[in-house]
Amino acid sequence: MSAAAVETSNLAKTYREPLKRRTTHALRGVSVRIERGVIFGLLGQNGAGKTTFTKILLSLVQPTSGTAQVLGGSPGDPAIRRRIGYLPEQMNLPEMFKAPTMLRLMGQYYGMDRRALEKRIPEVLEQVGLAGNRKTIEAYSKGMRQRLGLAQALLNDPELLFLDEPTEGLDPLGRKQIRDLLLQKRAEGKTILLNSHILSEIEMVCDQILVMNEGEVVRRGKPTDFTPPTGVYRMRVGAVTDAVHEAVQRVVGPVRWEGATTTFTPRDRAQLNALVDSLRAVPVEIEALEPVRATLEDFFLELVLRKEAE
Amino acid sequence: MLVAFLHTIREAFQRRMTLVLLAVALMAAGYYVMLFRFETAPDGQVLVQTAVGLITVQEFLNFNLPGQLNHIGTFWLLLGALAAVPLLTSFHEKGWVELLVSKGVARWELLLGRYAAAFLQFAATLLVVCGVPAVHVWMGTGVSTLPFVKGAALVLAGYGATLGLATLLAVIQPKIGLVSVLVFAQVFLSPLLTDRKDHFKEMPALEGVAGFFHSLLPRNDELRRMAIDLYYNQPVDSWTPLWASLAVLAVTLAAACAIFQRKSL
Repeated sequence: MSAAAVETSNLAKTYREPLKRRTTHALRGVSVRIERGVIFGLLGQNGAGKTTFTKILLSLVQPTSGTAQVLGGSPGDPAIRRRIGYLPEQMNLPEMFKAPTMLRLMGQYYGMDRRALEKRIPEVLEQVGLAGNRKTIEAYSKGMRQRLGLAQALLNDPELLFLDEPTEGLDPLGRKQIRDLLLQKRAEGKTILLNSHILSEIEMVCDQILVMNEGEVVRRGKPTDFTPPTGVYRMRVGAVTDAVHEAVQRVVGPVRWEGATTTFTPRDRAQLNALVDSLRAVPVEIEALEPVRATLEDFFLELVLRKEAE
Repeated sequence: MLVAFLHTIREAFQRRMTLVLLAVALMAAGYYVMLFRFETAPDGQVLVQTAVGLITVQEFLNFNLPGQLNHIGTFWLLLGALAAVPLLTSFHEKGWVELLVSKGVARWELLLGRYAAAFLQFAATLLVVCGVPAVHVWMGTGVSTLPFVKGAALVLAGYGATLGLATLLAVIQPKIGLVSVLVFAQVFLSPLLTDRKDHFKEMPALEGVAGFFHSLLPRNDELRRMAIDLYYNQPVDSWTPLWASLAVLAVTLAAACAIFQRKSL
């Protein structure tokens, strides 16, 4: 059995500021195993410990206690880090460089072979949609900088990718392109650790989600685990006539309409079927009838509100 | 380490400071060659044409090259530090250092690559600003200028130690302004620390403090004086300033590497 992409045991990090007499527990005993070939989302408020967790896995921060293994080895091992790609949230790029020059430099830091590097640079620029761009970085828009950041993270064809807000500054089309790219990388067997504040994005692409709060793992599961059915149904009909009003009210009681759409909570499936029968008898076309699921945003807001209440 | 070294050299040229420093060095060297010309008198004696008229080679050698050593030991050293500090602090910028470390390069390699490039930048300009006069005088007079070159090497050793201190400061607090001010202060205070017994003879507490810092910091001023003594073929009483400065270099670089290795980025 191959080693997990990431495995941590009781990982803790405490920052001490003696002058301010302040101690911050950024991580409190985090134990996580992330299998290979998945897109893994990290979720949590600012200061929840996501960045510290990621940085320990990249050997940018040393843990106070506990152990971390990445791709079966120590994050501190340069040979392991050469198999990893990283897109930080903030990147200061060398402004006078053009994209290929910047990537050539990054490739040299990776210790890549010159010939392989020259072949790889146009490939990654194509993947992120920057092929043929002749501008220097100083003339890049925020979105282009983000694409270049992603290109440098993909340069070494990494087995494990750490992406911090990868779609920040991108337009909707750009976001879609990046999501497709991530799904393609997963299909190639790569593991991706995604840190994003765009919850819908995490919901769309992640296989697993880890929720952190105050340095601890609060919950872990598939996106659907966080978005259970609410018992509420949403229905849209062809036209809302008095007969439709009456048919609905007779079965499920009074409801509020927004145009041709309404939401209601049926007692059980039999009542739902009775509503459908009643509407067909009117007759009216039922354009959609679907259960309403909680969103990741609902879960996240509930978590924040609960924390504030405590 | 080679990648970090070459990257820093490239950055040095992009920041234009190296070009400015090299241009100033070339201008100074060219000015020197044009200003001091050598003429052979009818009696066969070589004379030097200076701004104040013709003087003998011995008179010339007695004041000119030691003056050069004085200049490079103070003015040029400060200019070199000014150009080097940005190279030592820039890569600590948020988002950039994380990127480089995450690429699989050992942290000490990044640091020493930077140091080596910053050192080479100064050494290259020193070669121009000292090498051209040394060759010009040697070719014009036939007198060996090797003592002058040895003196310049001592100044270079002092600069290496100052740069080691700057590397350590940049790791602890990577602020270009702060590191520049501290490095300038170290170079400016060097004569004061050397002559602390004269300056603070009625203030033993201050003399003690000065002595403490003297034992910790590079000894640029003593090395400059040693360089001039060497030039005049005077016996060197003690090589301690050189060994002490080299020890500062070794300790500061080792400390910088150790701190950087453990630093949270």
